Amino acid sequence: MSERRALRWTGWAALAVAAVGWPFLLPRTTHFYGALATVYALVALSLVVLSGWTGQISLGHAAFLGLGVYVGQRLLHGGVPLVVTLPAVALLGAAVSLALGIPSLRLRGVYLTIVTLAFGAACERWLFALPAVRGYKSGIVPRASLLGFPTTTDRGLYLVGLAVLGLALAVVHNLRRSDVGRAWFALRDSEDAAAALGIRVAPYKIGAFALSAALTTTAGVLYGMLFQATPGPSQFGVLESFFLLALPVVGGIGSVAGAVVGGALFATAQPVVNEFGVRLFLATGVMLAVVTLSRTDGVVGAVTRLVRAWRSAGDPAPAAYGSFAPDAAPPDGAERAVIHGPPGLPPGTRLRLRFVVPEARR
Amino acid sequence: MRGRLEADNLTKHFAGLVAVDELTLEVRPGEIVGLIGPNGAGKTTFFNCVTGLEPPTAGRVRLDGIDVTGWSPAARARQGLARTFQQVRLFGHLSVRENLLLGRHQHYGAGAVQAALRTPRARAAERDAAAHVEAVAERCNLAPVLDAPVGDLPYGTQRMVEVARALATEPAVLLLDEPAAGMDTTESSAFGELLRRVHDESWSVLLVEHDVPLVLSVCDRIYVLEFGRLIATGTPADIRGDDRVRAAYFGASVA
Repeated sequence: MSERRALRWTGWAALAVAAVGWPFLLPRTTHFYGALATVYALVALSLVVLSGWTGQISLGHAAFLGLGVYVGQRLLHGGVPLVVTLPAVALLGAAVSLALGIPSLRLRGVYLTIVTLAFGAACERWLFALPAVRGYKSGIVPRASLLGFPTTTDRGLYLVGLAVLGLALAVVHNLRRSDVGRAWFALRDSEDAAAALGIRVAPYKIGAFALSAALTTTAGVLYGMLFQATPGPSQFGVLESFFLLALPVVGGIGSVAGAVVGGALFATAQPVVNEFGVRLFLATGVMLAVVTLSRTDGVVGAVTRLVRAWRSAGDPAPAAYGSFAPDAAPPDGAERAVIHGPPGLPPGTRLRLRFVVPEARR
Repeated sequence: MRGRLEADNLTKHFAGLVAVDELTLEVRPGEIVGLIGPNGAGKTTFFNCVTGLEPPTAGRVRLDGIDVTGWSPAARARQGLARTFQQVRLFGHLSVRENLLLGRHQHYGAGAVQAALRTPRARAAERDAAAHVEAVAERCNLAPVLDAPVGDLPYGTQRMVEVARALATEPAVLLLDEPAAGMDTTESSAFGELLRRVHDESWSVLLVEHDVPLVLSVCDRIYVLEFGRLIATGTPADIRGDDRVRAAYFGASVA
């Protein structure tokens, strides 16, 4: 194993130990925010896939979160074990997204946004108000254990959330590094060019939407368990979808790491903004404005940029491909020449150059 | 032998305007065939009908004997029809390597579920695709820029990346849509040389182009289009000496 690889593995191991270990060191009141961070990070991850990678905007993700809360509560109340509830709710989210997506994603442009907007509004005003779904009274969500691992404490729930998040991160990261992830980026940049390579555009767009919806409804189950109560339908309205979209945008919507950073940032933002007596909505707006104006990919993008600048400090600027930058300063009286050769000369190509020093300079 | 492309009496009308008029054209396996014509001759319309972006009003398109007339662009691509775009369409969020890897999409040996779980089969698929891409990059002299973001490359190199991405699909026929558009004369002749160098007998090329010197220098046979109709066919030498071609290109402007 190379030294660099060993270093990387050590880093990941340290990160894993820190992620599991911190609740055993910090006071119990902080555990709630840790569990909330795993929920937010799951939602942010789902939006990294959908918006960051395939360039689609959903205004119904708060409704998917609510769907997870309400359906998860029903299942857990009915005695369905958590290990079954989580995948069942994920499948439900995927199924609903297919019903919404298949008619709209065959069209181009903003149709998905419009359909999810309608879905979000319908859930808020109608579906989530049905007595069969939530009713007007808040229901109590049981804290079921996962394969015998208790979630009655916030720490236990955090660790379960961390496990679910870890699994989701691994799956999404694997997809990103495969043909599927590349195809998502391709159809975001140019559907015509993607189709010209034989990529079936519609299934890839629908697939990204289904995966995204499944991750968010799964997060909903944990969200309900965290509050041990079902929040009102207005908590899952269209406006909330905008708030959820802010999570990955501030964290960094282009990368898996951005989802984790965004989730952790917003989960811990509430007590911080309370200290300063500022509304979280206002703080969110300010953060969004800063990210947009800075033209970086959120916190992760800014950090990556800084690390790159720090690493390459002192290095000469990389030579542009297809041009030969002269190394030494030209002799006195000679013009500096930059010669652009045909692109991609093979190594070992012999070039004959003739230099002429101008006789008199004007 | 793969690489036979036939357009049979292809016709395209736009609200009374005849853009392409009963055009019959054949690209034989291993050939580089040019299609030239002045602005508005119907080259782009013909190209769109062949690649599936627009349905023809009448006529058929056959690829290696298979009628692909009603097929979608993606289905034609999977049948072996690769193309490049007049305005380079690389995937700007990806590196050169990832752009070329997408050329292996049709040959990728693992599905989404296997990729998500990173099964041994998914790893093997990724390795195979990577090895193929390295070979294509080597052939197209792109190996030094494999890890560059595509946006950092000069225009001519981007053009070559697009050609390499199409080649990675192992096409039967490669359609080039005005590759010299936006290039100066030095760049377009360099592009012509590179095309000749990477081309071999296992695939054919249809070069739809406005740049006459480029077409004359790289093509085995040339079709000349004017107002949607074929006015001449032949080798570069035939075309160079053809009076109607001279008239079509230089007639009004030279006199």
